[in-house]
Amino acid sequence: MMAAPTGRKPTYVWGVGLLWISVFTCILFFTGFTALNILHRQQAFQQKIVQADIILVRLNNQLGYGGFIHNFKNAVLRPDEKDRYLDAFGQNALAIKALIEQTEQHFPDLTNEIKNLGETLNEYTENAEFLRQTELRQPLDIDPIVRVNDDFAVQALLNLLQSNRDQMTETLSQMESRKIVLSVGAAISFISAITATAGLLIYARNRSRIFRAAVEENRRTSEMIEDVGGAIFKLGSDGEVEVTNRKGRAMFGALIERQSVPLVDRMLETFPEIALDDPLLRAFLGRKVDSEISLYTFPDQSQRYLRIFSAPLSNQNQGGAVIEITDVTQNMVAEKLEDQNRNILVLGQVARSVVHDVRNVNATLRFTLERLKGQDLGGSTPALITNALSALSVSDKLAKRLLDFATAGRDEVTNFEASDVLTMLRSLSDGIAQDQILIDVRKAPAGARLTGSPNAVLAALINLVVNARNALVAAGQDGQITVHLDSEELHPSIPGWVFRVTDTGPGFPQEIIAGSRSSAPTRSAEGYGLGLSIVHSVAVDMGGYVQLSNRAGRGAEVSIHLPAHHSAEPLMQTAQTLHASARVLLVDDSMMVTRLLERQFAKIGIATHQSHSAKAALLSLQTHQYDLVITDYDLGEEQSGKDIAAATHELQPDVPVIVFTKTPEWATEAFAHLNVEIFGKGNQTETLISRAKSLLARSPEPADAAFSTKNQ
Amino acid sequence: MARLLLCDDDPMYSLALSALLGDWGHSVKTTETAQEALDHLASHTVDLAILDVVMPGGGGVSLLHQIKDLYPNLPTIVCTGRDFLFETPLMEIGMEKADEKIKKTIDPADLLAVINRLLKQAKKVG
Repeated sequence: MMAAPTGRKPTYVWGVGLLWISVFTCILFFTGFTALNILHRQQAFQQKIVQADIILVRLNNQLGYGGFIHNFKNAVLRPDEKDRYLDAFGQNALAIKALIEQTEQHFPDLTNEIKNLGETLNEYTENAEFLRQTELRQPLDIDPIVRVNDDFAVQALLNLLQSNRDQMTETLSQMESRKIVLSVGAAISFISAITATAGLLIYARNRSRIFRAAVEENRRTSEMIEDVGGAIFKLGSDGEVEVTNRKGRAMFGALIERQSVPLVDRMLETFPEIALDDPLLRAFLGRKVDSEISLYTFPDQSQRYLRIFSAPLSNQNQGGAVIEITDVTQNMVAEKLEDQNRNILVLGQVARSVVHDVRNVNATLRFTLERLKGQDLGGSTPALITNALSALSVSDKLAKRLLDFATAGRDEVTNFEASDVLTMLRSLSDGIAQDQILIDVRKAPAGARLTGSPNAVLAALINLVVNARNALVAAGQDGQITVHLDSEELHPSIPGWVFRVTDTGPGFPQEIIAGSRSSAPTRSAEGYGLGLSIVHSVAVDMGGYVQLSNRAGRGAEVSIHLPAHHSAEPLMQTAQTLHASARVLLVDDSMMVTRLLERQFAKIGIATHQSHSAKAALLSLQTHQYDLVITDYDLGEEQSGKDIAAATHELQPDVPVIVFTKTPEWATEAFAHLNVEIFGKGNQTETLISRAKSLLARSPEPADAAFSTKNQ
Repeated sequence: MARLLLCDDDPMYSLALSALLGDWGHSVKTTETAQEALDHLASHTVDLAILDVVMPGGGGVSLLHQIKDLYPNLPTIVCTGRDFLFETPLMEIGMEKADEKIKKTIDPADLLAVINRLLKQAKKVG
């Protein structure tokens, strides 16, 4: 399933993007208004300058040729037309006076120049008045009148013109500069706003594309999960789970119905074994769960392996998640396991080989990934490595759980070559030997094959060799330890093999040997340092037994007697064809033990019914009539052989009960108040069969002679 | 940087572990048999050895004893993928000379800590 985008990033991007656009839009408006204002001011200023120019031009016209001074001088030089020129002069003077007033408004800073103009005008006006009233006869009369200094007025006019030009140039230059600054600012703002808008549009498009892809991926994942019988849930912001397909409702039923009780409480009630770090609980609390497999016991007591995967919804703040739960048990193994126990054995063997390989491969991969993790790799590689390491952890758990599941309550059973065990023992014993102690592990005879756990046999032999070596060291003797394998009948007509571990040490105390003949090695034997309880347990679990003896003057011998390799198939066909003279219920959590007993009973024509759990045995006692019940003491669960014996006495009071156990000395005390017979597993098997045959001989043969063996 | 000797008959495991040890700054010599390991020790200086317990044609336990007889101060780690051996007396009796016994599935960080500790101890002794 594609990981949902996180919730924080989109909000952040949209917020920053819109803020960016807003700021630069404001700047754009500000610069636009300012530029417009400057434009208006520039136009007004230019208008003012033009008006000033017009005034100055008019002033110049009134003063220059054909104007004020010209008319005055004509009036002086042309007495006949004096009045006409003086009249024209008068009009010029009035116009100049008006123009000077206007100039004062336009050039308030040039009062001196304007004053000079006014003074020159007044001087000419006074002289003109004098001229109007006087007849000039002599040049000397004319001279004082015309000797008016025009320089100040001319200079004033030039200054005014220059000032007007300077002012215009300076002001316009300033305005142009501001206009350029504003234009650049406006352009930047415009580009920024456009860029941000375009970026947001592209981002929105990408988000849309990712969202569509995620939706499509979810759809495809949902289809796939539907195909494999998975359930999909949606965890809402209110902490409630919504089921999105039928499988989810079928798998979790009432748990997902909305109720007044909080979901977490309902979960803890439904799965009382659930822990706080459980992936299912974590998923339903809205936390991310990559892909984890856990075993759950459902209210109907069925146990299922569920693969849990959850991804938070896009907006993490809401605490929602999409949860996918696939019933791995049902999809992978349940169908195969439902009918036939032998499939459990097959699966167990497959699981063991897979687990062994997976663990080795996982260790190799883990080192490789750890190495890559330490390197500076770019891109998505670090995330991939992290994911791979997580997957390895899941793989480890899955491997372990698969093994636990496949072998739960049952023996690790496989067919193996005895030579492999002895080769490995030889390799390891090099390190156990000391200078003066030789360890000789001999080759196994050809074709020596056993059924059971090779690791357990090897562990038992290591125990025996180490114990023999310790005995020699403690006695301060040089010596030799020999391990060899012989062919031997385990029981009459039951082929077997015997591992013999002999040493040249002081041998066993007689009480240890005597104790071992009647029962399992006692605590005192264990305390003696032999570790014989472990060896005994291994042998009994494989349907064999252990014997201790002292060789005449040559040290001790421990022999492990085991049945030869046999088919993993129960004797269903054989038993079905037998004439069943009696019905026996065999109850033992070890399939090896029930299978061995089944074979031996079959040889004497007695059909058996096997149960590998107390629950199944109690059910059988309620529904079937038996003539004999043989049960183990420790059934590896809450109920034991005591419950089987008690139920038999209650439901079928006339049926005898035999307890067949590894630890008969403990059982004697435990069954003190129950009417049972007790036999030790291992070397008391033959006695058990004889006693059973004797008990069954007293019972009438069943009417239904075709009652067949079946496994539960 | 320490000079490490790794002896394991599983070449993939050796390759991965030696690469990781190399990244941790160590120089690693990988060997697949006990004899190769002994030959290397005879002609090179080694600061720490890591030996597989179960190898065809001569196990790591025997190799451990030979190494400790010849080079008693060489820190030596034995490792195995057969976890059940840890439940036998072999670990205490046969491999008592090993400075550390680990499972092959050990977490790399723990392995690094073990190696660093042994090298530090050896340096103090040396």
